[in-house]
Amino acid sequence: MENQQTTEITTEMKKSYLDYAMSVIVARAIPDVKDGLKPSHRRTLYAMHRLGLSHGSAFKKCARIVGEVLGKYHPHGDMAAYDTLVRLAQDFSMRYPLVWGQGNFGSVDGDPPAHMRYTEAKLQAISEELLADLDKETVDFIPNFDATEEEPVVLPANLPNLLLNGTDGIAVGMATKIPPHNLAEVIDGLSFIIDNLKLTPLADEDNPHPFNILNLPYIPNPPKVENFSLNSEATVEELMQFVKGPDFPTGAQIYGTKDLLEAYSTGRGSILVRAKAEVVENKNGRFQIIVTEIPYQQNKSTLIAQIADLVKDKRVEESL
Amino acid sequence: MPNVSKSNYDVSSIQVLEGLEPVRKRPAMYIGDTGEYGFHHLLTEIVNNGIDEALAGRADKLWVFLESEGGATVVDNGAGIPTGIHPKYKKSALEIVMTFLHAGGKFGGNTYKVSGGLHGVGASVVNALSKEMIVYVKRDGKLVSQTYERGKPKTGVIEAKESTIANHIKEILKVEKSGTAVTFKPDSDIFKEFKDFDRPRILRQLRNYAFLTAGITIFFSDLRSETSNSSSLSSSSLSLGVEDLRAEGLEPKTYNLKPINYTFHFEGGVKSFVQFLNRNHTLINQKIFFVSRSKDDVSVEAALQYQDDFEEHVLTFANNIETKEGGTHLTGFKTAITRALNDYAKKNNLIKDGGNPEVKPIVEVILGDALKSYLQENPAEARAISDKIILAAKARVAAAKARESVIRKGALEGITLPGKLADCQEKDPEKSELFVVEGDSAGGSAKQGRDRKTQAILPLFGKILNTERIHLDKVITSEKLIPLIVALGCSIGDTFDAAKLRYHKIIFMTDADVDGSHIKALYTTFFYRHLLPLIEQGFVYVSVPPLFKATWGKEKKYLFDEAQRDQFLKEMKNQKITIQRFKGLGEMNAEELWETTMAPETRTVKKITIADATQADETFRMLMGEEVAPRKKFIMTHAHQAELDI
Repeated sequence: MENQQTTEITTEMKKSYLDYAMSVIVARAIPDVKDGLKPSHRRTLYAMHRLGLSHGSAFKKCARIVGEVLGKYHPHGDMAAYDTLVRLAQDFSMRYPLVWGQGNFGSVDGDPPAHMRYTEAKLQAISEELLADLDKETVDFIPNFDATEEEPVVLPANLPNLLLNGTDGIAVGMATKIPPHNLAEVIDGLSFIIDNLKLTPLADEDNPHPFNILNLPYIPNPPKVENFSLNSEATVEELMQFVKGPDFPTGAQIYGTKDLLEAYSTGRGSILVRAKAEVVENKNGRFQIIVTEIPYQQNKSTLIAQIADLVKDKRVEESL
Repeated sequence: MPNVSKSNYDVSSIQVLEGLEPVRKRPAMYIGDTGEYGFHHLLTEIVNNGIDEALAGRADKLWVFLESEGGATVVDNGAGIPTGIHPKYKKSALEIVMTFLHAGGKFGGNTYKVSGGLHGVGASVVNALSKEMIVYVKRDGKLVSQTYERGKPKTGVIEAKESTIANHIKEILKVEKSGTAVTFKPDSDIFKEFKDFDRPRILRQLRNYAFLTAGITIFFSDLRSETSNSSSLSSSSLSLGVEDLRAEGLEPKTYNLKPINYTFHFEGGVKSFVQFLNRNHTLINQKIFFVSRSKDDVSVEAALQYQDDFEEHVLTFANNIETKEGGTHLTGFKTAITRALNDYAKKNNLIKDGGNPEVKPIVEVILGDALKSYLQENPAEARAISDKIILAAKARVAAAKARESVIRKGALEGITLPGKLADCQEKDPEKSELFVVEGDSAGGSAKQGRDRKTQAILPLFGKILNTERIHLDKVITSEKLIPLIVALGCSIGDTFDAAKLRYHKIIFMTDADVDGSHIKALYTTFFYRHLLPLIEQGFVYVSVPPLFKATWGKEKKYLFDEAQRDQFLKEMKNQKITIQRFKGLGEMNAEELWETTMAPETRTVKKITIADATQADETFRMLMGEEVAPRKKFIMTHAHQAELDI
């Protein structure tokens, strides 16, 4: 006989929705702060690593990489997996591309990449910093979807990838958007943080009157690490001496440093980015506006079409 | 020739069900089901008796205790159930009330209506389904009690010994002049799945009673230890919580006794109710319109407030019971509102004359007059309401036009069944089932595996629209939804006709993965917002596919939950077994899908029910609506309860 149960509509809805929302947040749209990667990115890099596609090796067909990713780690659609791979290789999308692409990987005009049977790829040198020491028990591994392989929970990540390449993700009930930054600036900022670290001993049973171990030349029985708190005294303003702002792969100019301070202090803020352009007089005395850099994630051909429309609608006068 | 054994069929095999036997045989007939709903319904029945005492003006206090050892106690300070010997039945009236089905309705006529105010089947049904029940009655200074076991009296109606009464009951009956206390423990033989009361659910119900029963004070006390409390998702602090209530200052008195106590008392009656329901909305008229008057033996209580929503939310109650189908009281209410507001708007030149064709000739005098004076006395409020109505009317007209044009173009009419639908051979809706399947993965398996006589398959590809905030005109032009609406056969919106429904079981069969959960939520939203009667009539189900796949050697087995998995692993200790969290229905062959999820003999299906319409509405608005903040709060509060699919 059929086993018929009842389920209350609000309980059913809340459960379905919560499972969906949390899975999207944890395992799809929001990157891990440690390596700055979403699961799809991490699995792509790991699969390429396992295929031996280091930056010194020969390229392999993207179709083969996508097959490896889908078959072993990421049970999703092939086009989605290829799009992920392509984006990692685009120098106009990534401040520091993690994948080295051979062939047509799309353009800033929004042209699509060639099909994965044509294109080839391997890891960039910088990705190897993210993957370094993976086999030395640096990170935890978990079984893949059919428990036949293992995959890393995060990459060891020698680089602060989240800050370098930024991220953009819309989950459920929450979203994230972090702009890319300059490697040299971020490293300088990190050095400053480390220089200003303060190790504060915490009082405990064994050591009711904590002393500052950094002042002692020799410690016979060093206290345990967990008995200390490690904090940096660097302020946002100080750090901004080094990291002056985002560094977009497409260049362009940021307006308003006040907004930047707000964004870096609170994690929330908006920044205005303007294209870099100069007015040049050509030989026959006419002036031209030459645009050399456009804001990040702007589609160039759409932008040109919009400018043309503005001229057509007489909102911008054609000057002589 | 069939082998008939003569001795089996004789007089002795014919049973005459009497007393409360039928209730124990077929509990679902009396209390709905033996799950969560039925379990709580026991308490509702007993509480209703107390509320009836209050409505009759004999009681002003009601106590509800969730007992530490399971079960519940309800005490009222009404007149107390009569305990004298009934002349005809030669038994105490109390015993008759508690042990005879339909006692209240069947005998004594007016005597009992006046003295007991019982719902008839109520108390005796609860008694039948309780492992133990004790009733204490205080009347004329005497305290008597009777104990029952599974509906049968264990003792006579005897004088209650103080030492045997639980303290909390004793204290109340000592102070009150008269009253009835009922303690019962639901029988676990009957309620196999559900064993514990859900506090938030009971609180919501008691709160509604307090809103609707002017003058009553309801005390609630949960004597269970914290650990035994069900901490299901339904006990969310977000869902219409008492916490919110307190924050609003709507709860005047809270005795902070341990462990958990609540007191409900609302001077404002339905006015407080409206204030409470609208607490999360932008209000159009701050001052609530409220009237409470009697005319010709009918007393009317109504409260009205406009807020920023374009949907109407009407909750109607007759004698404290929610009347979902509406009725003459609703018709009267609507007519009065329409007339009074129209008159006001016309008088003040807010709308052009010519009238509203919707006005019905019935006039509810009380409401009409009261509303008229309210509008005249509060011009600012009246103006705001009028503006809102005019705006809403414009939106309504626009939506209706769009809808009509679509219907006229024949978007739904005369369409043949969608090509994707693999229909069943059966034409009788009662025997037909429709599986709505998440297309990509399972459609093919389901089609091959089904029983084509009674099971139809409709694969829907990808995610459907979130229908929470969209009007019908968008719904019936959605490429993804049209096949579903057409396959159901009952149409939608104004042309909805449940009689034309082609299947009486509509089963959502989605993958056990993230997107499956999302799609299930989207389907549920669509049915709740646009085809609600189908859920209310119990036609909508969700399938329960296996959660785990165990493989060893060349063998495999599907397991439905954690308990089954653990049991299986214990049994197969000597084998090397790999357990996988099961992902998609497409992982199974047609036969496997049939056996585990579709075959009526072996499958499990869950019927979607609605326990509390207000709560359901709030839940959908929170999860699927426009505002992000409440959703985020919900996700963050309950994050640890999620089953992750990584």
